[in-house]
Amino acid sequence: MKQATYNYRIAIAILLLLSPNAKSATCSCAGVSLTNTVNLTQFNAEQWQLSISFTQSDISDLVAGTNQINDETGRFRETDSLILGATYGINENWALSAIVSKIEHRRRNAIANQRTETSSGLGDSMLLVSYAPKKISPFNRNEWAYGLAVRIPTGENDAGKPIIFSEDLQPGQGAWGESLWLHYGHAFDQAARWQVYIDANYQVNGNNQRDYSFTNEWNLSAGVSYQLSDSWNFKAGVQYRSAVPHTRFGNNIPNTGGQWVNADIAIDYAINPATHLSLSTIQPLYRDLIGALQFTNKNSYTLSLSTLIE
Amino acid sequence: MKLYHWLSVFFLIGLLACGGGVAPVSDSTAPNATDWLVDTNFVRDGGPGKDGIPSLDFPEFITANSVTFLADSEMVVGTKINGVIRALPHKILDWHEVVNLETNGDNHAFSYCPLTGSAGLWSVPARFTNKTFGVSGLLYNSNLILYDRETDSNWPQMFNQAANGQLIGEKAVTHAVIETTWGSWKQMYPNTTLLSNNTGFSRDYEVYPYDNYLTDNTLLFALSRQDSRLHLKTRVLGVADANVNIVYPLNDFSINIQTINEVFATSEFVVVGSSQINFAIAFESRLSDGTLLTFTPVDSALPIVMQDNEGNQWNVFGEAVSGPRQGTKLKLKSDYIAFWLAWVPYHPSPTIHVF
Repeated sequence: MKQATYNYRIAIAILLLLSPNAKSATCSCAGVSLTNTVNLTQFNAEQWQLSISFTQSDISDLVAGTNQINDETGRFRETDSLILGATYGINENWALSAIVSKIEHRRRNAIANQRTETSSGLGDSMLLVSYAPKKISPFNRNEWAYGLAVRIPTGENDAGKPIIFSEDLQPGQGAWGESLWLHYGHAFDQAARWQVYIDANYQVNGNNQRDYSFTNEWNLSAGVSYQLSDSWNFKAGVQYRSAVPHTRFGNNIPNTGGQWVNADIAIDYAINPATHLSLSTIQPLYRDLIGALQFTNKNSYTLSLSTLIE
Repeated sequence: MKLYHWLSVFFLIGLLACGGGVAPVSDSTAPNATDWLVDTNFVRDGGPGKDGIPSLDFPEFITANSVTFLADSEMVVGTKINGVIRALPHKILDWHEVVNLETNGDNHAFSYCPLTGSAGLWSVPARFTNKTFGVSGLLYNSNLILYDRETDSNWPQMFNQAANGQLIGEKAVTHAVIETTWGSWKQMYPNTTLLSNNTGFSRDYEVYPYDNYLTDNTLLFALSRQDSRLHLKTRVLGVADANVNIVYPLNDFSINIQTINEVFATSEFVVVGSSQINFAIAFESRLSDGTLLTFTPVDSALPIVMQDNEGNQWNVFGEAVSGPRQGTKLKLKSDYIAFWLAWVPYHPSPTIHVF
């Protein structure tokens, strides 16, 4: 029983550390996902989980509708995000999580003498409460979880003064937001080597001080994971994201919003039963973006380290 | 490992990754607040970055007969430089905004801002080695800010001078442009050439890049002043100097060519336009020899649009093409044709001419 419980903890930890849960794809602007390290079910009563992740996103694909366009300006647009997360299990079913971030955006067009514009600083933060009435265990192959979060505009959102950078180049959105998550997971066997998950997430964002809003989006992801060995786990999934256009003064901003389908692939290594190192990537499979010309993710890569504290 | 040890590890990693602090870092070569002639609270980063909207540098022009991508009803901006007649269509300008021209050894920077509906033509200073301007990626009251590639100075288009950088305060030498339909322009100048849509850039020029912006009553960026008397996107011809600040809505001109002889204290000028031909322009009516001319319209003789009380006939560029003053050129009076939203921040509380 003790060994089974140990194996389940590893399997569950790996699944939930790898699963996107509330992860949303990095949007075609600066809407950096804060939730890569949030776990809705991987906690125990009076237990801490700490995580740190680094994501680098290349946002230089130029798309019109479903067509990728050759840019010819030699554009370079990248975002690095460092996210620290902490989750505390209040009891077996309830947990609180906190996330802080540090963001750096870089932009350059080759015509303009290769000069890079950089915006860097504290990003937005998030507080999340999650409720997991059912978790995968040796006696239960299904799990459910719900999460509710508030996005706190702790980040700088007027970088570049006196000439303020565009909204997508700001470390923070400058606006409050809310998110709702739903999670379902299923283990195919008692050993829980094969698991599947489905996650849904809806986000609402308010206006910043310049009456700009990243508005609303929802995300749906599904995938499978397989425990290759006691130390290695592999996961592959598909994400779907749908975002409405951003607004300023309540009016739609052209060339924002659309639909994305991405592949989410990850591999996890258990340094020890409680500590994991994970490498994941998001690769676009399909895009249908609103407007005549929109910049969006070419790809992103994330390296994460997380640990459970007994 | 104790909890506080782990917290310390993660905090340290985060701290190191942040470089020990979270102070924002901006491009150290960006302009600073003390070096702008315009209110930086209304200078905004448009999003694409410097040269993110690529200028067209010495592009190809094609003869009117070979044009297949432009309907007669579509808008162009016409230029006449050293006798060379060229037109640049809105549908290409919407995507590039700045076009660098060379005409028999003279260099000019043409610009069109799709957010303010304003077109301009400047001489490039002869002393420049790099004779091109580009799109800075910045906007002032939604208006395009060009930058010169010689000194990296920033020039808000409707400001007509450098507002930032090494050349701060230097005024642009402006030239008349005629904004009208392609069909009307061909009537005026049948031998015109047109900017080719073979620009070297992969852009769909049949698509307007700003959704419904051209016709809706919305803004994308804050303005220092607004005036609700007209729809934001009403095209107006604006005239402003020490004595006058007045706009003439283009749709209010008569179908036939109309002339309006204006006298305001020492400001004396003629406005000529037509809503059907879809053009308007203003010239000073007092000549350098002190003669004050009055003008009447001439229809059906494009590019001739008016005749004065001496019998001289004048074309749309203010050039006398017949009469005793043939060869004389009137001095340009009008500042810009632009959207109403763009005129007000530069020239608040204008008079709206009542036709």
